[in-house]
Amino acid sequence: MQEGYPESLDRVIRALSKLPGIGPKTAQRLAFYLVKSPSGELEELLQALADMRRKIRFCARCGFFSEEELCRICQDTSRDAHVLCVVERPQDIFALERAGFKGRYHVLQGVLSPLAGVGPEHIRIPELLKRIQEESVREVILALNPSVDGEATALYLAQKLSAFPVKVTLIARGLPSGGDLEFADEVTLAQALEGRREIRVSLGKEAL
Amino acid sequence: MSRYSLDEGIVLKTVDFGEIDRIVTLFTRKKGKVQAIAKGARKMGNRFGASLDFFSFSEFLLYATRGMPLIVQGKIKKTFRDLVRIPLRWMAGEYVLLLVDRLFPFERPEEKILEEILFLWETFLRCGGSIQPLLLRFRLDVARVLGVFPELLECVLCHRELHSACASFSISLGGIVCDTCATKAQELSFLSWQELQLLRNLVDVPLGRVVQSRVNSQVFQSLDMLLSRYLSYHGEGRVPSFTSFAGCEFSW
Repeated sequence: MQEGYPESLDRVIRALSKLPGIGPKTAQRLAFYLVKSPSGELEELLQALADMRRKIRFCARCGFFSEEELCRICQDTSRDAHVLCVVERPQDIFALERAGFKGRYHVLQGVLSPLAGVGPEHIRIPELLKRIQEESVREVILALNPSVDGEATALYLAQKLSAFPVKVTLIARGLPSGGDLEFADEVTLAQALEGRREIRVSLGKEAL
Repeated sequence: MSRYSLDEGIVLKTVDFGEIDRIVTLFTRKKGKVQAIAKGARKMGNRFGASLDFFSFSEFLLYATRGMPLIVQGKIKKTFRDLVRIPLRWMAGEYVLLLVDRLFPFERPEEKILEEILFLWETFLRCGGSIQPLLLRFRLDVARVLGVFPELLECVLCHRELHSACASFSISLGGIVCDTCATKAQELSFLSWQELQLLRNLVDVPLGRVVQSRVNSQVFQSLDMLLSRYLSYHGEGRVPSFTSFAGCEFSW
Protein backbone atom coordinates (compact mmCIF):
# COMPACT_ATOMS: atom_id res chain seq x y z
CA MET A 1 0.00 0.00 0.00
CA GLN A 2 1.20 3.52 -0.84
CA GLU A 3 2.20 5.29 2.37
CA GLY A 4 -0.45 7.62 3.73
CA TYR A 5 -3.32 6.68 1.40
CA PRO A 6 -6.46 5.10 2.82
CA GLU A 7 -6.76 1.51 1.64
CA SER A 8 -9.78 2.11 -0.62
CA LEU A 9 -8.03 4.94 -2.47
CA ASP A 10 -4.84 2.92 -2.77
CA ARG A 11 -6.82 0.05 -4.31
CA VAL A 12 -8.27 2.40 -6.94
CA ILE A 13 -4.79 3.75 -7.76
CA ARG A 14 -3.39 0.26 -8.11
CA ALA A 15 -6.32 -0.87 -10.29
CA LEU A 16 -6.02 2.17 -12.56
CA SER A 17 -2.27 1.78 -12.95
CA LYS A 18 -2.88 -1.68 -14.45
CA LEU A 19 -4.58 -0.04 -17.47
CA PRO A 20 -2.42 0.30 -20.59
CA GLY A 21 -0.56 3.60 -20.85
CA ILE A 22 -1.40 4.61 -17.27
CA GLY A 23 1.56 4.93 -14.94
CA PRO A 24 1.41 5.39 -11.14
CA LYS A 25 1.38 9.20 -11.40
CA THR A 26 -1.51 9.30 -13.88
CA ALA A 27 -3.36 6.69 -11.82
CA GLN A 28 -3.02 8.93 -8.75
CA ARG A 29 -4.25 11.96 -10.68
CA LEU A 30 -7.29 10.07 -11.98
CA ALA A 31 -8.08 8.66 -8.54
CA PHE A 32 -7.89 12.13 -6.92
CA TYR A 33 -10.22 13.47 -9.60
CA LEU A 34 -12.69 10.64 -8.99
CA VAL A 35 -12.66 11.31 -5.24
CA LYS A 36 -13.57 14.93 -5.85
CA SER A 37 -15.87 14.31 -8.84
CA PRO A 38 -19.32 15.93 -8.77
CA SER A 39 -22.21 13.94 -7.44
CA GLY A 40 -23.52 11.43 -9.97
CA GLU A 41 -20.49 11.51 -12.25
CA LEU A 42 -18.74 8.60 -10.59
CA GLU A 43 -21.97 6.59 -10.43
CA GLU A 44 -22.47 7.21 -14.15
CA LEU A 45 -18.97 5.95 -14.88
CA LEU A 46 -19.50 2.87 -12.72
CA GLN A 47 -22.81 2.17 -14.46
CA ALA A 48 -21.22 2.61 -17.90
CA LEU A 49 -18.38 0.23 -17.01
CA ALA A 50 -20.81 -2.34 -15.61
CA ASP A 51 -23.00 -2.09 -18.74
CA MET A 52 -20.00 -2.46 -21.01
CA ARG A 53 -18.82 -5.46 -19.07
CA ARG A 54 -22.28 -7.07 -19.27
CA LYS A 55 -23.17 -6.24 -22.86
CA ILE A 56 -20.04 -5.99 -24.99
CA ARG A 57 -18.67 -9.11 -26.59
CA PHE A 58 -16.86 -9.95 -29.79
CA CYS A 59 -18.94 -10.67 -32.89
CA ALA A 60 -19.14 -14.44 -33.41
CA ARG A 61 -18.34 -14.01 -37.11
CA CYS A 62 -15.85 -11.17 -37.55
CA GLY A 63 -14.55 -10.48 -34.03
CA PHE A 64 -15.62 -6.80 -33.91
CA PHE A 65 -17.21 -5.25 -30.79
CA SER A 66 -20.88 -6.15 -30.54
CA GLU A 67 -23.80 -6.24 -28.13
CA GLU A 68 -25.41 -9.14 -29.96
CA GLU A 69 -24.14 -12.40 -31.40
CA LEU A 70 -23.41 -10.67 -34.71
CA CYS A 71 -22.17 -7.08 -34.94
CA ARG A 72 -24.01 -4.36 -36.88
CA ILE A 73 -21.60 -4.73 -39.82
CA CYS A 74 -22.14 -8.47 -40.18
CA GLN A 75 -25.91 -7.93 -39.90
CA ASP A 76 -25.93 -5.23 -42.58
CA THR A 77 -27.11 -6.95 -45.77
CA SER A 78 -26.34 -3.91 -47.93
CA ARG A 79 -22.59 -4.42 -47.51
CA ASP A 80 -20.48 -6.27 -50.08
CA ALA A 81 -20.09 -9.79 -48.71
CA HIS A 82 -17.64 -10.72 -51.47
CA VAL A 83 -14.90 -8.46 -50.10
CA LEU A 84 -13.37 -9.29 -46.73
CA CYS A 85 -10.95 -6.92 -45.05
CA VAL A 86 -8.59 -8.52 -42.51
CA VAL A 87 -7.47 -6.24 -39.66
CA GLU A 88 -5.31 -6.68 -36.58
CA ARG A 89 -7.56 -5.16 -33.88
CA PRO A 90 -11.26 -4.21 -33.61
CA GLN A 91 -10.39 -0.50 -33.36
CA ASP A 92 -8.82 -0.66 -36.86
CA ILE A 93 -12.34 -1.12 -38.21
CA PHE A 94 -13.32 2.41 -37.11
CA ALA A 95 -10.48 3.86 -39.22
CA LEU A 96 -11.50 1.83 -42.28
CA GLU A 97 -15.15 2.78 -41.82
CA ARG A 98 -14.13 6.45 -41.82
CA ALA A 99 -12.31 5.77 -45.10
CA GLY A 100 -15.60 4.54 -46.61
CA PHE A 101 -14.95 0.80 -46.91
CA LYS A 102 -18.21 -1.04 -47.61
CA GLY A 103 -17.21 -4.68 -47.44
CA ARG A 104 -17.00 -6.96 -44.41
CA TYR A 105 -14.24 -7.47 -41.87
CA HIS A 106 -12.32 -10.13 -40.06
CA VAL A 107 -10.42 -9.20 -36.89
CA LEU A 108 -7.33 -11.33 -36.21
CA GLN A 109 -6.94 -10.07 -32.61
CA GLY A 110 -3.19 -9.67 -33.10
CA VAL A 111 -0.37 -10.48 -35.51
CA LEU A 112 2.23 -13.22 -35.53
CA SER A 113 5.09 -12.24 -33.26
CA PRO A 114 7.69 -14.75 -32.14
CA LEU A 115 9.08 -12.16 -29.69
CA ALA A 116 5.70 -11.84 -28.00
CA GLY A 117 5.09 -15.60 -28.21
CA VAL A 118 2.18 -15.18 -30.64
CA GLY A 119 1.86 -18.02 -33.13
CA PRO A 120 -0.84 -18.84 -35.71
CA GLU A 121 -2.89 -20.72 -33.12
CA HIS A 122 -3.13 -17.64 -30.89
CA ILE A 123 -4.88 -15.39 -33.41
CA ARG A 124 -8.06 -15.88 -35.44
CA ILE A 125 -6.47 -17.46 -38.51
CA PRO A 126 -8.43 -20.77 -38.38
CA GLU A 127 -11.68 -18.75 -38.18
CA LEU A 128 -10.60 -16.74 -41.25
CA LEU A 129 -9.90 -19.88 -43.27
CA LYS A 130 -13.27 -21.30 -42.21
CA ARG A 131 -15.05 -18.13 -43.36
CA ILE A 132 -13.32 -18.28 -46.74
CA GLN A 133 -14.60 -21.83 -47.16
CA GLU A 134 -18.15 -21.09 -46.03
CA GLU A 135 -18.83 -17.59 -47.35
CA SER A 136 -18.86 -16.31 -50.91
CA VAL A 137 -15.67 -14.28 -50.51
CA ARG A 138 -13.94 -13.25 -53.76
CA GLU A 139 -11.31 -10.86 -52.42
CA VAL A 140 -9.42 -10.75 -49.14
CA ILE A 141 -7.82 -7.39 -48.36
CA LEU A 142 -5.01 -7.62 -45.82
CA ALA A 143 -5.10 -4.31 -43.90
CA LEU A 144 -2.43 -5.01 -41.29
CA ASN A 145 -0.07 -2.50 -39.72
CA PRO A 146 3.06 -1.80 -41.79
CA SER A 147 5.35 -3.21 -39.09
CA VAL A 148 7.78 -6.10 -39.55
CA ASP A 149 5.44 -8.50 -37.74
CA GLY A 150 2.42 -7.13 -39.63
CA GLU A 151 4.14 -7.77 -42.95
CA ALA A 152 5.26 -11.24 -41.90
CA THR A 153 1.67 -12.04 -40.90
CA ALA A 154 0.40 -10.76 -44.27
CA LEU A 155 2.86 -13.02 -46.08
CA TYR A 156 1.85 -15.97 -43.90
CA LEU A 157 -1.84 -15.34 -44.64
CA ALA A 158 -1.18 -14.89 -48.36
CA GLN A 159 0.52 -18.26 -48.38
CA LYS A 160 -2.35 -19.92 -46.48
CA LEU A 161 -5.00 -18.28 -48.67
CA SER A 162 -3.29 -19.34 -51.89
CA ALA A 163 -5.07 -22.67 -51.45
CA PHE A 164 -8.45 -20.96 -51.98
CA PRO A 165 -9.96 -19.42 -55.13
CA VAL A 166 -9.82 -15.86 -53.76
CA LYS A 167 -7.92 -12.76 -54.79
CA VAL A 168 -5.60 -11.66 -51.97
CA THR A 169 -4.52 -8.02 -51.83
CA LEU A 170 -2.46 -5.97 -49.39
CA ILE A 171 -3.32 -2.35 -48.66
CA ALA A 172 -0.77 0.02 -50.20
CA ARG A 173 2.34 0.86 -48.24
CA GLY A 174 4.32 4.03 -48.74
CA LEU A 175 4.10 7.78 -48.44
CA PRO A 176 1.48 9.35 -46.20
CA SER A 177 -0.54 12.28 -47.55
CA GLY A 178 0.81 15.68 -46.67
CA GLY A 179 4.48 14.80 -46.20
CA ASP A 180 7.54 15.87 -48.19
CA LEU A 181 9.28 13.21 -50.28
CA GLU A 182 12.76 14.30 -49.17
CA PHE A 183 11.98 13.41 -45.56
CA ALA A 184 10.72 9.89 -46.28
CA ASP A 185 12.92 7.07 -45.00
CA GLU A 186 14.31 4.45 -47.37
CA VAL A 187 11.92 1.68 -46.26
CA THR A 188 8.84 3.84 -46.84
CA LEU A 189 10.15 5.05 -50.19
CA ALA A 190 11.09 1.54 -51.31
CA GLN A 191 7.59 0.35 -50.45
CA ALA A 192 6.04 3.31 -52.25
CA LEU A 193 8.09 2.49 -55.36
CA GLU A 194 7.21 -1.18 -55.13
CA GLY A 195 3.51 -0.35 -54.86
CA ARG A 196 3.49 2.30 -57.61
CA ARG A 197 0.58 2.26 -60.03
CA GLU A 198 -0.10 3.48 -63.51
CA ILE A 199 -1.79 6.85 -63.78
CA ARG A 200 -4.79 6.74 -66.11
CA VAL A 201 -5.56 10.17 -67.54
CA SER A 202 -8.80 10.91 -69.27
CA LEU A 203 -8.57 13.82 -71.69
CA GLY A 204 -12.19 13.76 -72.75
CA LYS A 205 -14.44 16.82 -72.63
CA GLU A 206 -15.51 15.97 -69.07
CA ALA A 207 -11.91 16.06 -67.91
CA LEU A 208 -11.33 19.43 -69.50
CA MET B 1 27.16 19.48 -21.35
CA SER B 2 24.67 19.01 -24.17
CA ARG B 3 21.63 16.96 -23.44
CA TYR B 4 21.64 15.72 -27.03
CA SER B 5 23.64 12.68 -28.05
CA LEU B 6 24.01 10.80 -31.31
CA ASP B 7 24.19 7.04 -31.28
CA GLU B 8 23.49 4.22 -33.69
CA GLY B 9 21.89 0.87 -33.11
CA ILE B 10 18.91 -1.42 -33.50
CA VAL B 11 15.51 -1.86 -31.88
CA LEU B 12 15.16 -4.79 -29.49
CA LYS B 13 11.51 -4.29 -28.62
CA THR B 14 8.76 -1.69 -28.44
CA VAL B 15 5.81 -1.19 -26.13
CA ASP B 16 2.90 1.15 -26.81
CA PHE B 17 2.78 3.98 -24.30
CA GLY B 18 -0.08 6.41 -23.86
CA GLU B 19 -2.16 7.24 -26.91
CA ILE B 20 0.48 7.81 -29.57
CA ASP B 21 3.89 7.17 -27.98
CA ARG B 22 6.12 4.14 -27.73
CA ILE B 23 8.73 2.99 -25.26
CA VAL B 24 11.55 1.57 -27.35
CA THR B 25 14.35 -0.67 -26.13
CA LEU B 26 17.42 0.07 -28.23
CA PHE B 27 20.76 -1.70 -28.44
CA THR B 28 23.21 1.01 -29.37
CA ARG B 29 26.90 1.22 -30.08
CA LYS B 30 27.80 3.69 -27.32
CA LYS B 31 25.28 2.88 -24.60
CA GLY B 32 24.31 -0.76 -25.14
CA LYS B 33 20.77 -1.61 -24.10
CA VAL B 34 18.75 1.53 -23.31
CA GLN B 35 15.09 2.41 -23.08
CA ALA B 36 13.83 5.61 -24.62
CA ILE B 37 10.51 7.26 -25.38
CA ALA B 38 9.52 7.98 -28.97
CA LYS B 39 6.81 10.64 -28.87
CA GLY B 40 4.17 10.27 -31.55
CA ALA B 41 5.71 7.03 -32.85
CA ARG B 42 2.31 5.37 -33.31
CA LYS B 43 0.96 8.06 -35.59
CA MET B 44 0.96 7.47 -39.33
CA GLY B 45 3.57 9.59 -41.08
CA ASN B 46 5.57 10.14 -37.90
CA ARG B 47 9.11 11.47 -38.10
CA PHE B 48 10.72 8.14 -37.22
CA GLY B 49 9.48 6.15 -40.20
CA ALA B 50 10.71 2.56 -40.10
CA SER B 51 13.77 3.42 -37.98
CA LEU B 52 11.91 2.20 -34.88
CA ASP B 53 10.92 -1.11 -36.39
CA PHE B 54 12.83 -4.39 -36.19
CA PHE B 55 15.64 -5.10 -38.65
CA SER B 56 16.59 -1.44 -39.13
CA PHE B 57 20.06 -0.24 -38.24
CA SER B 58 19.62 3.46 -37.57
CA GLU B 59 21.22 6.59 -36.23
CA PHE B 60 19.34 8.03 -33.26
CA LEU B 61 19.41 11.50 -31.78
CA LEU B 62 18.60 11.13 -28.08
CA TYR B 63 17.70 13.86 -25.62
CA ALA B 64 18.49 13.20 -21.96
CA THR B 65 15.74 13.95 -19.43
CA ARG B 66 15.43 13.22 -15.73
CA GLY B 67 13.65 9.99 -16.65
CA MET B 68 13.93 8.01 -19.84
CA PRO B 69 15.67 9.77 -22.73
CA LEU B 70 13.58 10.92 -25.68
CA ILE B 71 14.27 9.76 -29.21
CA VAL B 72 14.26 12.99 -31.16
CA GLN B 73 15.21 11.61 -34.56
CA GLY B 74 15.79 8.25 -36.17
CA LYS B 75 17.49 7.86 -39.53
CA ILE B 76 17.87 4.46 -41.16
CA LYS B 77 21.43 3.55 -42.16
CA LYS B 78 20.67 0.06 -43.37
CA THR B 79 17.56 -2.08 -43.42
CA PHE B 80 17.24 -5.87 -43.32
CA ARG B 81 13.46 -5.77 -43.53
CA ASP B 82 13.32 -8.27 -46.38
CA LEU B 83 13.92 -10.94 -43.74
CA VAL B 84 10.13 -11.04 -43.32
CA ARG B 85 9.93 -12.68 -46.73
CA ILE B 86 11.77 -15.77 -45.43
CA PRO B 87 9.76 -17.00 -42.41
CA LEU B 88 12.42 -19.06 -40.66
CA ARG B 89 14.98 -16.27 -41.06
CA TRP B 90 12.51 -13.66 -39.85
CA MET B 91 12.14 -15.73 -36.69
CA ALA B 92 15.90 -16.25 -36.43
CA GLY B 93 16.38 -12.48 -36.82
CA GLU B 94 13.97 -11.80 -33.98
CA TYR B 95 15.48 -14.60 -31.90
CA VAL B 96 18.84 -12.83 -31.67
CA LEU B 97 16.98 -9.71 -30.49
CA LEU B 98 15.32 -11.71 -27.74
CA LEU B 99 18.68 -13.12 -26.62
CA VAL B 100 20.24 -9.67 -26.33
CA ASP B 101 17.18 -8.20 -24.62
CA ARG B 102 16.98 -10.95 -22.02
CA LEU B 103 20.67 -11.59 -21.39
CA PHE B 104 22.34 -8.19 -21.37
CA PRO B 105 22.00 -5.65 -18.57
CA PHE B 106 21.13 -2.03 -19.35
CA GLU B 107 23.82 0.47 -20.34
CA ARG B 108 26.57 -2.01 -21.07
CA PRO B 109 27.89 -1.26 -24.57
CA GLU B 110 28.81 -4.37 -26.55
CA GLU B 111 29.85 -3.19 -29.99
CA LYS B 112 31.05 -6.64 -31.05
CA ILE B 113 27.61 -8.13 -30.42
CA LEU B 114 25.92 -5.29 -32.32
CA GLU B 115 28.23 -5.86 -35.29
CA GLU B 116 27.62 -9.60 -35.11
CA ILE B 117 23.84 -9.10 -35.21
CA LEU B 118 24.19 -6.94 -38.32
CA PHE B 119 26.42 -9.61 -39.87
CA LEU B 120 23.89 -12.33 -39.00
CA TRP B 121 20.99 -10.41 -40.54
CA GLU B 122 23.00 -9.74 -43.67
CA THR B 123 23.91 -13.43 -43.91
CA PHE B 124 20.33 -14.55 -43.20
CA LEU B 125 19.28 -12.40 -46.16
CA ARG B 126 21.99 -13.31 -48.64
CA CYS B 127 23.08 -16.83 -47.76
CA GLY B 128 21.24 -19.79 -49.21
CA GLY B 129 22.79 -22.31 -46.78
CA SER B 130 21.77 -23.36 -43.31
CA ILE B 131 21.69 -20.69 -40.61
CA GLN B 132 21.82 -23.19 -37.76
CA PRO B 133 25.62 -22.95 -37.19
CA LEU B 134 25.29 -19.15 -36.93
CA LEU B 135 22.59 -19.42 -34.29
CA LEU B 136 24.83 -21.70 -32.22
CA ARG B 137 27.92 -19.53 -32.71
CA PHE B 138 26.05 -16.37 -31.73
CA ARG B 139 25.13 -17.85 -28.37
CA LEU B 140 28.72 -18.92 -27.77
CA ASP B 141 29.84 -15.37 -28.56
CA VAL B 142 27.18 -13.95 -26.22
CA ALA B 143 28.48 -16.27 -23.49
CA ARG B 144 32.03 -15.08 -24.13
CA VAL B 145 31.06 -11.41 -23.95
CA LEU B 146 29.09 -12.02 -20.76
CA GLY B 147 32.18 -13.67 -19.28
CA VAL B 148 30.57 -17.10 -18.95
CA PHE B 149 32.11 -18.92 -21.90
CA PRO B 150 31.85 -22.68 -21.32
CA GLU B 151 34.98 -24.75 -20.89
CA LEU B 152 35.13 -27.06 -23.91
CA LEU B 153 38.71 -28.34 -23.86
CA GLU B 154 39.39 -29.69 -20.40
CA CYS B 155 37.40 -31.03 -17.47
CA VAL B 156 36.14 -28.15 -15.33
CA LEU B 157 36.96 -30.11 -12.16
CA CYS B 158 40.34 -31.84 -12.72
CA HIS B 159 41.49 -29.63 -15.63
CA ARG B 160 42.69 -32.60 -17.66
CA GLU B 161 42.22 -32.45 -21.40
CA LEU B 162 39.42 -34.66 -22.65
CA HIS B 163 40.15 -37.34 -25.25
CA SER B 164 37.21 -39.70 -24.79
CA ALA B 165 34.55 -40.25 -27.45
CA CYS B 166 31.91 -38.39 -25.49
CA ALA B 167 31.66 -36.08 -22.51
CA SER B 168 29.33 -34.87 -19.85
CA PHE B 169 28.47 -31.21 -19.68
CA SER B 170 27.67 -29.43 -16.46
CA ILE B 171 25.62 -26.24 -16.88
CA SER B 172 26.19 -25.09 -13.32
CA LEU B 173 29.95 -25.83 -13.34
CA GLY B 174 30.27 -24.20 -16.76
CA GLY B 175 31.77 -26.82 -19.04
CA ILE B 176 32.68 -30.40 -19.78
CA VAL B 177 33.34 -32.96 -17.09
CA CYS B 178 35.51 -36.09 -17.58
CA ASP B 179 34.27 -39.59 -16.80
CA THR B 180 36.33 -39.75 -13.61
CA CYS B 181 34.91 -36.53 -12.21
CA ALA B 182 31.38 -37.15 -13.48
CA THR B 183 30.47 -38.90 -10.23
CA LYS B 184 31.19 -35.68 -8.28
CA ALA B 185 29.01 -33.45 -10.46
CA GLN B 186 25.24 -33.15 -10.54
CA GLU B 187 22.72 -32.57 -13.35
CA LEU B 188 25.00 -33.57 -16.18
CA SER B 189 24.00 -33.43 -19.85
CA PHE B 190 25.39 -35.94 -22.30
CA LEU B 191 27.48 -34.49 -25.09
CA SER B 192 28.46 -36.72 -28.03
CA TRP B 193 31.90 -36.43 -29.56
CA GLN B 194 30.30 -34.97 -32.71
CA GLU B 195 28.50 -32.29 -30.66
CA LEU B 196 31.61 -31.41 -28.66
CA GLN B 197 33.74 -31.19 -31.80
CA LEU B 198 31.16 -28.99 -33.48
CA LEU B 199 31.12 -26.56 -30.54
CA ARG B 200 34.94 -26.41 -30.56
CA ASN B 201 35.01 -25.86 -34.33
CA LEU B 202 32.36 -23.15 -34.21
CA VAL B 203 34.51 -21.20 -31.78
CA ASP B 204 37.69 -21.56 -33.82
CA VAL B 205 36.30 -20.71 -37.25
CA PRO B 206 36.15 -17.02 -38.28
CA LEU B 207 32.55 -15.75 -38.19
CA GLY B 208 32.41 -15.36 -41.97
CA ARG B 209 33.07 -19.08 -42.44
CA VAL B 210 30.72 -20.41 -39.77
CA VAL B 211 27.91 -20.74 -42.29
CA GLN B 212 29.96 -23.38 -44.12
CA SER B 213 29.86 -25.67 -41.08
CA ARG B 214 27.62 -28.68 -41.39
CA VAL B 215 25.12 -29.37 -38.63
CA ASN B 216 22.54 -32.12 -38.81
CA SER B 217 19.15 -31.27 -37.33
CA GLN B 218 19.44 -33.70 -34.42
CA VAL B 219 22.77 -32.24 -33.32
CA PHE B 220 21.39 -28.72 -33.75
CA GLN B 221 18.36 -29.41 -31.59
CA SER B 222 20.48 -30.96 -28.87
CA LEU B 223 23.00 -28.07 -28.80
CA ASP B 224 20.24 -25.50 -29.28
CA MET B 225 18.59 -26.74 -26.09
CA LEU B 226 21.88 -27.07 -24.18
CA LEU B 227 23.13 -23.55 -25.00
CA SER B 228 19.77 -21.97 -24.15
CA ARG B 229 19.70 -23.71 -20.78
CA TYR B 230 23.31 -22.69 -20.23
CA LEU B 231 22.65 -19.01 -21.00
CA SER B 232 19.46 -19.05 -18.93
CA TYR B 233 21.45 -20.31 -15.97
CA HIS B 234 24.37 -17.89 -16.29
CA GLY B 235 22.69 -14.86 -17.91
CA GLU B 236 20.35 -12.14 -16.64
CA GLY B 237 17.15 -13.87 -17.75
CA ARG B 238 15.67 -17.05 -19.18
CA VAL B 239 15.90 -17.66 -22.91
CA PRO B 240 14.09 -20.33 -24.94
CA SER B 241 15.80 -22.56 -27.46
CA PHE B 242 15.40 -21.45 -31.06
CA THR B 243 13.38 -24.59 -31.76
CA SER B 244 10.78 -23.73 -29.14
CA PHE B 245 10.90 -20.00 -30.02
CA ALA B 246 10.11 -20.69 -33.68
CA GLY B 247 7.53 -23.33 -32.74
CA CYS B 248 6.71 -26.36 -34.80
CA GLU B 249 3.31 -24.89 -35.73
CA PHE B 250 5.08 -22.37 -37.94
CA SER B 251 5.52 -25.03 -40.59
CA TRP B 252 5.01 -23.50 -44.01
